Amino acid sequence: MTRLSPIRRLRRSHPLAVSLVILLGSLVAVPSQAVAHAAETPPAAAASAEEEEGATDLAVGVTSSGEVLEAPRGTPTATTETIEPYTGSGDITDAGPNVSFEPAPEDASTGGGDVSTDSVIGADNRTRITATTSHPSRTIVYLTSSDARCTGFLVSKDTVVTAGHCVHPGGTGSTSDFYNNFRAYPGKNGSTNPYGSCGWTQVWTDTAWINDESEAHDWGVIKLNCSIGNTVGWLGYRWQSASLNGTSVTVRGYPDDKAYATLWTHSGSIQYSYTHVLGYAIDTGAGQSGSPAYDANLYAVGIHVRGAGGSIAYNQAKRITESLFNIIQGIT
Amino acid sequence: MRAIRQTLLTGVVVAALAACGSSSGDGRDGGSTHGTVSGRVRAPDGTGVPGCPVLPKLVEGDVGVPEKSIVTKEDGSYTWTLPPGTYDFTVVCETERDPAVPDEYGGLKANASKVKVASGETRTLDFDLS
Repeated sequence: MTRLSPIRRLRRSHPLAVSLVILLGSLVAVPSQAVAHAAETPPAAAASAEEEEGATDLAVGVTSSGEVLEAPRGTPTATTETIEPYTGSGDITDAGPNVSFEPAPEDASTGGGDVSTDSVIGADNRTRITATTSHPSRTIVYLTSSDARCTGFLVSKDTVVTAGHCVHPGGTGSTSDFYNNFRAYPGKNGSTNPYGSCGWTQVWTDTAWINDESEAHDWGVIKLNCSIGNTVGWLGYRWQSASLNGTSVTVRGYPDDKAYATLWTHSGSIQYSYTHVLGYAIDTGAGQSGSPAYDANLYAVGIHVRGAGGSIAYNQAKRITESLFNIIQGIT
Repeated sequence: MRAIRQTLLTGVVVAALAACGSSSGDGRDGGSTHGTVSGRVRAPDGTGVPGCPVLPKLVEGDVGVPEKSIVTKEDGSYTWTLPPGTYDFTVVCETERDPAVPDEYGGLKANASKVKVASGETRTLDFDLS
């Protein structure tokens, strides 16, 4: 998997010319904040750019032993647009083997500590979830890897959805650059790991993320080595082609500007919904990449990926598209 | 004449492809090859300090910051891959935020302003805590 896109090939072979064109392009570009407020009718130029980057999500994965996996083929979804949430049995014996109750390496104590971040828009409206063993909080996992700490959420007995940049640096063109040593802690609450933790067997992301670092395809999926979802349940997920503007969603995850490994939540309306990206003024923090953006019926419609800042007015999620829905369904 | 037409055509194609590769700021398109920032977070005695989150804040740029948590490793080292832009960095070492921070270094901080991150480039950025 070392394919380079035409854009990257041009950037490498004619860096000066491409830089000049990008510079000229940036002089006439529409300010992004204005675009962010432009509701749901993207300009034709932006739509064609998205088309160029690949309108559909396309998966590639590796196993924990490094074997490259072929793209999964989801069940045709002519009528299926949702996967139902599940509350779980609450019985840890349903999780099968491989659940570890060893503490996380950094576990020792918890306490206070608030530091403001850029993705807190206005006042910090996040509230802490202390009852992390309730559904749906227990479906949300504190995710560690060889690279960073993120959030993820269960969508089946053994499948965690997260951000692409939590599983691969992006833009390298190589499947050998996947991060490793993934470990998922469902419902973690500070140093308390009520359901232990699980390792991984497979990791997936989008070919457009690996090759081009395309923000439009910033998703990741991790297959666990246990069936902890039988115990804690999972979130549903769904896609729709219609706009999601105004839909109320909750973003819940593990920000590192708060006390160690604590779960925080905030809800709000989706401000813009493009083919691949959702924008909202829901407060988040570093570490919340991979958090679900889920609706009142506990269906995830997006995966939190980026914070506001610079010319970016809103925090952003990778939208669950039909093709991503099919990929997740195929992996589960 | 043919050469001029070919040059113009090439220019148009390059412009179109480059436009696709640049960002509009709301994440609708893609292709923002990252830059890399790495270094060490050091206590006043020169020791690398583990467990300190290194937080970039986007000051100028049109691709949002990936919201993963990069925390210093045992030797105080860290690596961030970030979209091109200008960032302010904050490092705050607190045992409340990460028990891996040794007690004697709790409460130490450092920051760096207007750090430029360019596509495909790697730069070193060390932090001396105080």
